[in-house]
Amino acid sequence: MKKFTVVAGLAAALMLSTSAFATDLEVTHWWTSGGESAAVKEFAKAFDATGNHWVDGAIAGSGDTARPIIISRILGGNPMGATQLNPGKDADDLVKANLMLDLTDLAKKEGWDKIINPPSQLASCTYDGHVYCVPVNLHSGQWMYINRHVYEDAGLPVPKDWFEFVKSVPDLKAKAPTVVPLAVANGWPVQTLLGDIEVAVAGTDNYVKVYKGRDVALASGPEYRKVFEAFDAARNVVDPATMVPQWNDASALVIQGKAAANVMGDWASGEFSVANMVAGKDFDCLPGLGVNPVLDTGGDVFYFPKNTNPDVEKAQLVLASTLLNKDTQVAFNLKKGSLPIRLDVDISKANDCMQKGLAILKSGAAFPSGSQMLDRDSLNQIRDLENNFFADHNVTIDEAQAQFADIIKNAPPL
Amino acid sequence: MTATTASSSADHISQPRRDPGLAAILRLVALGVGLLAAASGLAFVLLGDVPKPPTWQNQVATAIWAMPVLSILGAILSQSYQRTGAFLLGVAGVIGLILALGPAGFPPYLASALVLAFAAGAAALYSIVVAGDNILQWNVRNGETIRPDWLTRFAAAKIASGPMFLVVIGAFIGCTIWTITFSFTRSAALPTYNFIGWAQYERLFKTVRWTISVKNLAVYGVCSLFFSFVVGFLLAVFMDQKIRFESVFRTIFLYPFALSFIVTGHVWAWIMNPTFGLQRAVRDLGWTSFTFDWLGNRDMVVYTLVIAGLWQGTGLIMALMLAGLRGIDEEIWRAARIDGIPKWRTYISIVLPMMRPVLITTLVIAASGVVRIYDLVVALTQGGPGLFSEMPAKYVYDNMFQNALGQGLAASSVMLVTTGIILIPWAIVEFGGKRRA
Repeated sequence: MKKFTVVAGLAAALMLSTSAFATDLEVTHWWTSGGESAAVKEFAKAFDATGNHWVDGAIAGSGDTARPIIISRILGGNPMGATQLNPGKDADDLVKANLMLDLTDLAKKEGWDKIINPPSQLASCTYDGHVYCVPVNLHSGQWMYINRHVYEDAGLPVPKDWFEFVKSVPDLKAKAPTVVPLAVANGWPVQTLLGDIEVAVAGTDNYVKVYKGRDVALASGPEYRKVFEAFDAARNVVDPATMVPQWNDASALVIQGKAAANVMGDWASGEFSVANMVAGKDFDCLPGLGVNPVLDTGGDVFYFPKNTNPDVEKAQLVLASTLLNKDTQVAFNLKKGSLPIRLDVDISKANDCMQKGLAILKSGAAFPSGSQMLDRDSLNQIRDLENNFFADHNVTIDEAQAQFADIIKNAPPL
Repeated sequence: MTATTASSSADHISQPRRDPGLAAILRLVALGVGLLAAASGLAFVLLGDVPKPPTWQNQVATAIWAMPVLSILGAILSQSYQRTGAFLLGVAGVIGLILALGPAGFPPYLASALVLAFAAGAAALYSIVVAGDNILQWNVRNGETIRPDWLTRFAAAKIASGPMFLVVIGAFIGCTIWTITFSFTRSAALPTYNFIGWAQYERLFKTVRWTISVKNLAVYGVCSLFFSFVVGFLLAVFMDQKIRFESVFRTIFLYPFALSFIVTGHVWAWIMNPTFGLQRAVRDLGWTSFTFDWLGNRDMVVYTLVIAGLWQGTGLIMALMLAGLRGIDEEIWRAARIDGIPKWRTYISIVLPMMRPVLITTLVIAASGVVRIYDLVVALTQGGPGLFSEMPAKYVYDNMFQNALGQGLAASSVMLVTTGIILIPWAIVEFGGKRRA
């Protein structure tokens, strides 16, 4: 009996003592490329400096791979301490189901509504007047990168926008047959390309009317048919055999002069600066594909799933505050190649393309990203539709447009 | 009375005494861990809450698996020790399970059901080991042994398999009903009860991606089953020729199966990459017009999955077939040889029909591997180019956790029904006939 008491006491002591180290926080994200993981380390460093410990839960692959894993873990009652997601509707249902930590008190205390710019980012973190996520950066997807040397060597004028580029392709093929006109990566980069063409052709007003206003007549009308005609032109430019696995492979082809152009988000500009390419001399970065200098305000946010342990909750709030900290913002965003979420920080070290983007955002020519207007399910259906249209030349423009209008019609209300 | 005699005589039968030191240590370890589990269980009950270190998931998972193992160990040890030993470990196991389920966040009713199931299992194990099949003497009435009826026949075995039945009913049937029910709702990220009839199914059959997925699965299934059976059987026959270094070859052929589909997919993605892989290698050798670009070719991309799947899975088919071949009596070979039947003819006309049970097992294993193909696609092609290598299981998974739960459940219900349509008639023919015979 005496032995039993001793053992019981030991066991209890063992279990109690472990609670003293309970400020480890597992953070899941899908930032695994070179620059991205360097940027995440800045967050980890800043969080560790607060006396807590960042347990890195990187999920290799894109958001398409990571999102289901993250959401199924939260739904399965095995929440991480914090997780990256995209702003918008991804986590709405989880917030509704009361699975996310309410950050409103912290947001009020630190005055997030005054420091976060543009305000739309905080708005898409707000649900019923409560704040549930922390925006950490701004990304825009509407950039076309052109290697100037490719055109100069071929004796052709460098195109100034998407339409000039499409027109230049036959000449380019004749003068430089080994050069890939448009470098495209498989998977989501196709959607980035077509989405950018969509915004450029339809204009931001129509784009927002369709995605946010659910204007089915517009989506199935003649104006949007032009969008699908432009998609058709794009798929004719790209030879499927030249498609590469990852977005940075596509950027590398442009950097090496093996491809003429590439459409990708601003995060690709980091690849060009790493390769010591000078904007305006070696390459051009054209916001809004050079058609309309507008940018969407996508980005990344962090959510904090509810945990039962009060120590974890304390650490979560510390992390939320750390992510928005001025120094952390600068260190993180310079490495990531994205724009900080607050204007009162110094990013003069940022590359030229980023400065260009910042000027556009300051002028207010920004519009919400797809995930801020439409639910993930509908976005995925559009992604599938666009991927299929791009790869299968048997799908006609009319079929694709009809399917698109159908998705918009069936999208759940905001 | 009989019960006491039986069990006490069991206690009196002296166990073969080998290595008493090890047994004593094992007993001590088992008791120690059992007591520790009981103690932590008590601490849990008394304190109301167990402090959870950040990585508590692992500990809970360990506990869930460790406790049943512990109690089985205790029950086995009780043969040579005391009944009380087994009983104590059983109790420790139950308390440990409560401890494990509490922090795991299981709803209380599920936890209590599992605890009950576990207690029943522990009791059954205890009774089997200590009292044999005579527990409670259900077959003795008024001092006379009667013929046991359907309920009391093999009572201990039935009790012992009780937990398994509970798991089957709960996990398989219950979850299937749940899946089908919620496929009729508008569930997005979370299951909700707003029923919308057949809308999810209508959307499913209108979706291009689903149609492509089903076509791809058909192509993949037919090709990979056909080739893995033919190649697997030929390899097994080759192995059966009493060749030298057989175990070396067997290991080589079976080795790919030790790799996950994810690794297989990534390896083949490199091999089949036109810029870096096989195409480049052959071109560098001098055959400059050689082309192998199936990964980017929308008509051929499904076959890249077939190739990688065959590379990974044929070894297993071979091993199963080899086991079947080895099970054929040597006498049959001798008889065939005396009758002058050529070897290939013996294989096809005599051995193959005799291997029917093995073939069916192999088919079920291989076919279930086909239906649930997911990870290979993710690693090798990501469903691309476009949607040309999408598969149904990927459609289910992608929808289920990306704000289209109802759609994913509808797709998985369709997969279940289709599999059922194929399996049930087969099962009736296969097993129904035997009963009549």
